This record gives sequence, C-alpha cells and structure tokens, in this order.
Amino acid sequence: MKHMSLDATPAAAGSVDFDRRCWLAGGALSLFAPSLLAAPSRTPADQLVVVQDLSTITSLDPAAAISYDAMRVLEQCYETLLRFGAADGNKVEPTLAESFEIDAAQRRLRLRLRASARFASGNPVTAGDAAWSLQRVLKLKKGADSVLVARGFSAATADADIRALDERTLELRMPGEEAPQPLLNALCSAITSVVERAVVEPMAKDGDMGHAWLASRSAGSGPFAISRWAANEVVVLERTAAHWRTKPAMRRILIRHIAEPGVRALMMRSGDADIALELTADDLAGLEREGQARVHRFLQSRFFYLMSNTEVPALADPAVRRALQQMVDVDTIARAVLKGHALPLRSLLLREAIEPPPPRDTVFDAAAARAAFERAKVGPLKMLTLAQPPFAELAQAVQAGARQCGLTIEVETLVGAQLFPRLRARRYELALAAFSPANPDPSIMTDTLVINADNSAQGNSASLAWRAGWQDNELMQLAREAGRMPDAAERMAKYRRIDTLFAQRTPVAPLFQPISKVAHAPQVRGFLLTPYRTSLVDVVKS
Amino acid sequence: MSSSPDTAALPAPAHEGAARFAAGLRRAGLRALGLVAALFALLALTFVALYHGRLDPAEQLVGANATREAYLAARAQLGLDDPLHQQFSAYLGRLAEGDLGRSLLTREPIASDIRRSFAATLELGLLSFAGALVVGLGLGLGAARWRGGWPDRLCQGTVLVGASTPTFWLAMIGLAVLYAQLGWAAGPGRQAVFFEGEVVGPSGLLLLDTALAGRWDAWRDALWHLALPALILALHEGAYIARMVRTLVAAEFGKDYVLTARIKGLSPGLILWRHVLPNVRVPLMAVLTLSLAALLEGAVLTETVFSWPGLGRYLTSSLLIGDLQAVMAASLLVGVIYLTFNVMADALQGWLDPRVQG
Repeated sequence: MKHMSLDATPAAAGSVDFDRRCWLAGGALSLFAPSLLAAPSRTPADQLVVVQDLSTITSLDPAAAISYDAMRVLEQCYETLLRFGAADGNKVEPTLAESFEIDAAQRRLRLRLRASARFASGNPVTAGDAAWSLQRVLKLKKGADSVLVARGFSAATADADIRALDERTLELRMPGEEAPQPLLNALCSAITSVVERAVVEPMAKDGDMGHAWLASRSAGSGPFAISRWAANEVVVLERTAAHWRTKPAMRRILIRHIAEPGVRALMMRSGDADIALELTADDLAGLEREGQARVHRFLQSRFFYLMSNTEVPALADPAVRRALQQMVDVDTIARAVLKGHALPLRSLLLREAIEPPPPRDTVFDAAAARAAFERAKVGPLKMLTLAQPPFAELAQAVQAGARQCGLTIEVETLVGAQLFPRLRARRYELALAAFSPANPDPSIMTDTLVINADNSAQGNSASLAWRAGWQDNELMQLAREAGRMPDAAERMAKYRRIDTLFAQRTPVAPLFQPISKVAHAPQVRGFLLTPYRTSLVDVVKS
Repeated sequence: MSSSPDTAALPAPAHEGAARFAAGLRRAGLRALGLVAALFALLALTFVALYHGRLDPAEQLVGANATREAYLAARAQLGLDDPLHQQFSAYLGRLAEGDLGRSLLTREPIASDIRRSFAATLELGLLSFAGALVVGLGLGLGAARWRGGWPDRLCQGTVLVGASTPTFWLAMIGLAVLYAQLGWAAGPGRQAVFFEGEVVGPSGLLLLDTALAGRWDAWRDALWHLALPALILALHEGAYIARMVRTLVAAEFGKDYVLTARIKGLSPGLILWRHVLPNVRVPLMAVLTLSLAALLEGAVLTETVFSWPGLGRYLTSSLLIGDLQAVMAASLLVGVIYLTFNVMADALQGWLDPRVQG
C-alpha cells in the first residue's frame, strides 16, 4: 500500500519552507538567548570566594564543631587561647593568652589573657568568657567535648577544674596524670574558641546555653563574623568593624557549597572561585598546566584504616590480623588508585610532611598472607566501607588484593550515618574507614588506637581499639607512661617503641594518610592552610 | 390532568439534580478518603523504610569521635530508642498539630526549609516545563506532521539524546561547554554568590522577589542562572513529551476521519489543528500534567550538579544524614504534588471528555 503524503500542494510546500525557517530561527534563538544575559565572571578584589563540599557542617557553634570544614570557618571568626605555629605545626604559641605557666607539680595550667583582646562587639575578652566557653563545651556534650574529655575533664567537674581567677587569669586544673602537652594542644583547637558570654548566654533556650542560636551565628574575637550560614549552600563571613589586632584586606569571604569536584574545577577555570578544595587529580593537573591555578598541598590529620572485629572468631587470631595487613599492597594502591592523593602509612604516628616520601613498604607479603589464611581456614568476610570517594575504590583494591591471597571479601558500602553506628555496636567483620585526630599529639592516636580500659559493652565506644574489641595491657601501660613523660624527646622515643609493638598486634591497621590539594587562583596569596590551622586573615589578591 | 406515559417515566428534575449531587458528593468523599489513605500509606512506608535503613542521625550530630555519653544523649534526645510504632505515632501526633519538626541539617524549622527549597524547585520546574512544552509539542507535532521527514528525524534524535542521556552527564557537559568554555551560561547556584542574602522576598521565587524589589541586576542574574538547568530539564522532559505527542498524533493521522477530511480538501495544518488535536487532547493533558508533576518533585541529580537548593537536593541531603522528619516532610510534599496532579488530570479529562466521568 502506497504511503499517502499530506504535503501534496505547492502551497503546502511553501508553508513547509516557512515553518522550517521559523523552527530553525526559534531553535537558534533559544540556544543563544542565555548569552544575551551573560555577565562577566571575576571575583571582586576585596572578596574571597572559596568553593568546597560543605555537607559535613551541621552547626557553627564551636561546642558542636565536629568536622574540619566547620573548624576552618570557626578559625576565621573566633580565637583560641593558644594556637599552633604557622611554620611548625608542633609548636604551641599564645594567641588570646599572652603567656601561660605550669606549676611545678604539672597539675595546674595558668593562662594570662591579653588586655587588648576584644570581641567583635568591642567588649574585652576576659578570663570569665574563656572559662565559660570551655565549661560550655563540656556541659553541652555535642560530640566536640571529646577533645577535653580525653584530657580528663568532664561536665560534672567543669566548674571546679576550669576557673577564672580574675579578669585576665584563667586556671585549669589538670584532672589526669599526663604531661601538659596534650592539654596545650587541645587548647589550640577551634572547639575551645572563646565565645562572648554576654552575647550568647541571654540567647539560651531550654537550657541549651545558646547552642541553637549560635549554630548559625558567631560571637567571637576573630577578624570575621558569620553573616549567613545556609546548610549545604553557603557560609558568608563579613569583616568585623575593627579587629583588635589586624584589618583583613578581604571585606567578605564567601564559602560556597559545590558538591561536585568537577564543577568546582569549572568554577576555577571561569574565575568564579578564588580557592577550590578537594579537586580530582586530573582537574588539578589541568588547572596547573594551563596556568589557571596553583596547587597548595599538605598532609591531612587523618588516616584510612582497615579494622577487624576481634569478636569474630576468625579474626581473633593475631596471625590472621597480621595477614590482613600483609595482603594490602599500599605502595601500588597509593600510586594507582589514590593517584598521589595519599601516602602509605603503616604507623600510629602520623607523618608531618609530604617530603621526603615514606620508605618502601615492607609489610606487604601476599604469599605469607595466603599461607596464614589457609592455615586458619578463614572463610569469606564482609567489609563495610563508606559510599564516598575514595573508599569505594579503595575497598575494591583491598578486595582484589585479598582475592590474590585466597580470601573472599564482600564489600558493603554505607553512608556515615549507617556505618559508624555499626562500628559502635561492633556489628561488623571488617571495616575500611577513616579517623581524624584533633591535633598532632601522639597521645591522641594512642587514645583511640591503644587505650581501651573497659572492653565491655559499656566501654568507650569512641575508641577504635574498643570498636575492634581489642585490649593489650602492655601497650596500654606503655601509652600511659608516655603520656606522663614531660620530656619531649623521651616521650617520642616511647611512642616509637609503642608503634613497633602496635604494628605487630593491632586489629586496626593504618593504611594511608591523605593529602589535601587546594587549588588557588595565581593572584591569591597570603592564606595559611595546614592540617591544624587555617587563616584567611592575611589573604590579598595581587 | 394526567401526564403522558413518556413524561411520567422520567424522574422529576429536582430529584435528578439531588441524586446527581449526592452521587458527586459520594464520589468526592471516596476520592478524598483514597487520597488520605494513599498519603498515610506513603508516610508509613517511608517511615518503615528509613527505620530499617538503619540510618542513625545521632551519629551524624555528634560525630564519629564522640564519647558514648554524648552519642547516647543525642539518641535519647531524638527519641531513637523508642519502638517503631511509638516513634511513628509520636510523629503523626506532631504532624496533626502542624509541627514538621526541626531539621538536623539546617537547624531551622522543616516547614520553612521545605518552603524555601520548594520555591527553588518550583521556579526551575515551571521554566523547565515551559521549555519542555516548546520542545515537546514543537518536535512531536512536527514529527507527526512530516513523518519520515527531517522534523521526524530531528524529533527522534532529540528523544534519543534527551531521554536516554543521563541528566547528570548533560548537566556536566552543559557547564563545561556553555559555562566554562564559551561563557554563555551562568555557573552553579540560583544566583551569583555576591547577591547572597541581598534580596529576601516573600515568595522565595527569585525572579518574582527581585522584580518586586526593583533589583533588576539581581533579576537578570537569577534568570541567567536559571537558563542552563532549565534548558537541560526541558530537553529531558521535552523528549518524553515529544515522543508521546508524536505517537498520539501519528496514530490519529492513520484514521479514517483524517482520510475523509483530506478527501474533502482540508489542508494538513487545518486537519491537525481542527480535528486531530482535539481528539488527542485528553491523553495529551495526562502526559503534560504528569510531566509537570515530575519536574516539581525536584530533579536530584540536576540540582546536585548545579548546586540548586531545591526539594530534591534537600530530600537527598536529609536522607544521607538520616534526618527522618525532614525526609518524611519532603516525601509528603512529593506525594501531595503527585496526588494533586493526578486528581487534576482526572478532572481535566472529565471536563474535556464527559465520557470519562462515568
């Protein structure tokens, strides 16, 4: 049957031509219309635009700052009593405190506050404000208190242990037996920022000490103040009217949530962002090659670990746990999977610098791992990991390594809100996750990787050693002794001894220490980004 | 005076009207009951799914390094240790009082979060729908009108690209080429970051609020930011509309009445507008209504790539941290949108074709 055409007449053919022209013109117009609205995109000279993933920020109250992203923001708006040095991350220097002294018995820390320090409101920063701020962290128990709880402080004794002796003198009674250094480090953390009591306390509701109010505002003595925070959207910081110490060149800092690393790179290319955090290796290389950005690298205070639950019979055997470490080829994975975004780490002592590169790994031994698994007749195991880069890729690499050693590992990817409760409940076999120590003190690492005083269900579920169900009394004793040593060199030697024993026995095997790579526009200078300190106060655009 | 047998057999007009009204009322009542039951089922299923998904918002609130004490305090505060039925009935009780709760992510009342994020989705959705109408109707009608010709091939090509290419990928390519390479489109977000918080209007629709405030620079910027994501969504949704329109209209063109009209000498355009379109308007309305509903529920991936603070992204972000109340509220809104549009589609069909009403 012949197909019947509806376009038989010349008139119809003419109308078709007209129709076609209209359609083409319409299509072209709709494609180019947005360009008619286009505006030039360059950030102003007195405003800094940072793009990053802000999804970890759920509050900007220092007492609830549980992510580094939140702390980076807080460091621009608040000041702490002490801080880590810009050049030497292990050196503690006074900030709001002009000096500090420790009594002969090493049980009391007395800090003398600067008379010139002022809050954004113009009021002086007093020892009363500092004491109230620290007590508030402990009493609110919003997770950030773990930094002070680890040093022996508690909500119950906070008023007695932390006291303002006068307007400018703050005294801290050290409840534990350890040397003062871990406490000095803790006082550098943004969690211990000094908030203005006179501003925050009147905003308290239902006994929350102003927590709900402070979640999206600031009341500190930093050079910037929070002007707006919209979760997963933006943080806007405005320069305070007159900072007591300095006047930043930037009038505003706009930190924008851009979830996709690829889009962050595109914004750098377009000049819509001055600083971009956490880009992919390919994007960084492209931006650097084309001269659109420079890359600042630093080692994160974080490590990826492979943890085994010793309550699982097959994993109670130390030989099997050792084999789980031996089956992971960290050198190859760091190069091929993590692509320079992490360094191998086989130690509980975090590395401080990217250079020199770590020595070649000597733990990887597929043959020994295979023999151990066969001897112990280890069956298939399930490994939990996070459903976010680079964990899924890392888990696949570990899975492939295990297969070569005759071990079958099934990988289950979960979001943080699913994974960590299972670790807290010890409902897992293997876990591939990350831990971020609050400061560089080795005691923070032994606190979580070694100390597990109560292995019962009521024990400290924050400790990785507890989550692995692992108790090693000898190592715990050594860790406590190291914590009490006042001499830094002797203390470090002790931690190295602990590290050697730890590597042979632990069910929580550190594998990698990630590297932060920050892209910044070539004209942006003066920022300070280290694992434990971020400062944008001196940023200028040349 | 006796009535004729014919008129006696018919019911009195007043009785007929009352009976029809009662039947209509009964239908409306049953429909309303059905809607409430559907929404309840949606809430119950969402609640059970989230409960068994073992998402623990307490962990997200206090962090992985929190002490056991802080973690347990957060769980108790959120009522997570109560049994499932108790948590659900408590939630329904609060919902009945109009209290949607407070978001764990934004720390704001969920009602205001939903209002804000839905406004962003609505603005994007309406503009995308307008674009989808142009793309879908234009290509679909053109393809059916000139079957086998270049408009048909263009339609099929567009359908292939629009319907089978992931919007996520299209969005990334759109940004890479039109924004980063050519500079023809705006970057991610609803507006340039420099306008942040400068225009806060009553509706949450930036185009409307900036116009009301007389901030034409901000209006221009908002429109510029809308253009690319709306184009991507319009292409995706327009491809679906085009395919349906082409199928519906082409099927009509094969029928006898079209042949008759042609034999009578009517032009193809006239046949299309006067005879074919009225016959496909009922299924076409259903297609368009459901397309609009799909756009208003929030396009998660497009919103993520474009950092668009819409409903889809709000729902996903809340889900990832296990914020049960926020997920429930957003799901409820999505359910209400779908059911409302379904009812509207039915009503529209009944209005356009009274045979459907029975």
